Amino acid sequence: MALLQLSQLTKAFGGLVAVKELDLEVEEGQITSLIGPNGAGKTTAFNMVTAFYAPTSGSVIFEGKPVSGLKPHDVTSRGIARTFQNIRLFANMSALDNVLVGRHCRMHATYWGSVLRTPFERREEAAAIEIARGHLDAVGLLQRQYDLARNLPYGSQRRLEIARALASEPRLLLLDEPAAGTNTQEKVELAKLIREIRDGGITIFLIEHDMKVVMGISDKIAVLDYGEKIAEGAPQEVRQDQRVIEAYLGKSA
Amino acid sequence: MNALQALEALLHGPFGDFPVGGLNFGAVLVLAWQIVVFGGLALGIRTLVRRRIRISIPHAQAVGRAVRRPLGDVRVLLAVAVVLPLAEMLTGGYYLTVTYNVELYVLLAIGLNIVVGYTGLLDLGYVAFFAVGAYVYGIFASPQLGQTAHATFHFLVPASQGPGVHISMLVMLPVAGFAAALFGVLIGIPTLRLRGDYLAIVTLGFGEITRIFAQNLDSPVNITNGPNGVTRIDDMFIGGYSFGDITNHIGPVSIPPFLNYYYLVLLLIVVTVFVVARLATSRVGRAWTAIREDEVAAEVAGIHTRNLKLLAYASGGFFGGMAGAVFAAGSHVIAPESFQLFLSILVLCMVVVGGMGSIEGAALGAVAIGLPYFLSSQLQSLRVLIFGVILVLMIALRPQGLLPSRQRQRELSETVDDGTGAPHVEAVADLQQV
Repeated sequence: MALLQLSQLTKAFGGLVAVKELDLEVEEGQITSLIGPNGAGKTTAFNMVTAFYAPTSGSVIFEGKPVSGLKPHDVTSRGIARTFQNIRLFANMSALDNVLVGRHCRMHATYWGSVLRTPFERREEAAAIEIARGHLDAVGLLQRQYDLARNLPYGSQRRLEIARALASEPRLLLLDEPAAGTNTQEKVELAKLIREIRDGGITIFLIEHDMKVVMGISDKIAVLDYGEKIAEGAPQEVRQDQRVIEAYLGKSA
Repeated sequence: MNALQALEALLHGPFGDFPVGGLNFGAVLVLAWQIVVFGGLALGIRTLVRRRIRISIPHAQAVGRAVRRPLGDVRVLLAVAVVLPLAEMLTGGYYLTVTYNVELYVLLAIGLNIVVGYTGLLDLGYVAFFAVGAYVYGIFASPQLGQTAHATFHFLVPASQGPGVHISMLVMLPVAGFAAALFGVLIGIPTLRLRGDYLAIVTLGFGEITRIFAQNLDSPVNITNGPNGVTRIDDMFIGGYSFGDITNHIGPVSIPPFLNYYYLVLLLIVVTVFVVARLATSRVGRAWTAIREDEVAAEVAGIHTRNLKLLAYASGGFFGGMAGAVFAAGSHVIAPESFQLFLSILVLCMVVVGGMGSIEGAALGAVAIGLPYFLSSQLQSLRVLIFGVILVLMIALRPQGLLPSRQRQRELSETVDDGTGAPHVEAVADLQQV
């Protein structure tokens, strides 16, 4: 039983079918990648997994239970975290606070507990800060924990977003183009980081355009074109698939 | 006759006293007119808020100078607040009334700051909470409830003589607060999907609706006594000590009623600051700030944004409601006209001028605007003009507010550093789109 199972997943915006009857399984402990040309429907698929969009038809099953009908924050507490293609940090909060917000759904301090500063609240807050610092350390940002998120360099912002996602203790991490806009050195570090996260027991579902990164770290790759899955398999198989080459380079190539 | 007067004549002329089917067309038109006028004013303010962010970019360096906190030590501030009215008593007590009113503004500004400053929900109907608190207290602590009960169920309830229900303020203050908090949730629910300008206009409408309701709820059952308002409202009392009793004295020194109210509101402010400051640095406050920064990302990060937004409305409403209850007790009379939209705008200006997202800023803004505003009441409408000039000067000279939160201070003052020493073009562009 796969950790995440998409079956016949379809999303139509009016007449435009962004994702069409997508079947895909994300196996536990693996890195599964979703690639395809711009506008192929990759992010739309992600948005359905995180209950951001309701599918037109088909289903998303996570840990054997459907995701449909849940609110995005419920999905996060169920164990799916994500990052965004265009970075969406809390720009005017410190790096540490950003990660602490990611931990919100694993904390239980109540409104009154926060006002009264109960011993439970104090302990939980102190523990959360420790854990958050751990995540910052893992992505190499501990030195800049008090800096505002907006003042971090671009690559660091991408990593901070990953740290925030990890803080919710996900079983499945969705990364939407984490390498976009980063330089070669940063891409190498990013690939290493993603592997480390996977080795830590978190399943990865990745959207990425950078083929070096994708081919290097993926266990399985699915290719979308115009909302339809045109290929699926190990990196080597996908790379040689005629339809994939056509989709990327055009028919005449 | 200019256009404005003509319109007013039109409003009060043919429709004014011409109720049809229980609906007063004059009132509806006046409401529409007010929404247009104040809506324009509100959008103007919002444009200025945007503008102050834009202005600050070229002057980032100038603004970046560290802001010293002249009144940084809370204990000094508190000592001054405790001694101040005693000094004012020597001057005859007028300024005590003034200070007490400014205190109420402070309480309102700190309450609104939760909604606008922390959670980023632009609320132009905050006066509704103040009104709900005032009416809840007023109806329960005046002959109003007894009279209405008698008029409605005269066969069950005998005509009541003196002021109706007497309940200690220890009960009535929280009751008024919770009533306003509940009201906050009720008007919060339909506005959950709205943001920014749209939210501002809808909350503005709710504020006005609340006032119009108060004005018209004198039939079929007389709840608010309509435009005449609720009169003969009890003073606050605790045990056998009534705040309004002019024979109260300590030794040879008599205690004027407003001294009691002054210290009551001071106590409420201290409690409010305590609660809000703790919330701000907790899981709840962090979630509020996250919603202000990016609501979508906050939801995806696992925050139940709906509940937390309602919680912000309820918290802001609670303090507004308590302020309303004190106001009702202190003035003995409340009428719908006490709860004009302009009060909402005034309190919002206090928060903006003081520095959004900072408690001390909201308090200082309340003093800086509330005090001159209250003192200049004889200037009538001219004071609104003066007040507007002050606001414009403020935005031009000190866009971050008098005492901005450290966070917002950094936000407006630091050049964006992307590690290379060059300004981050994207971030600046982002700001300009705000």
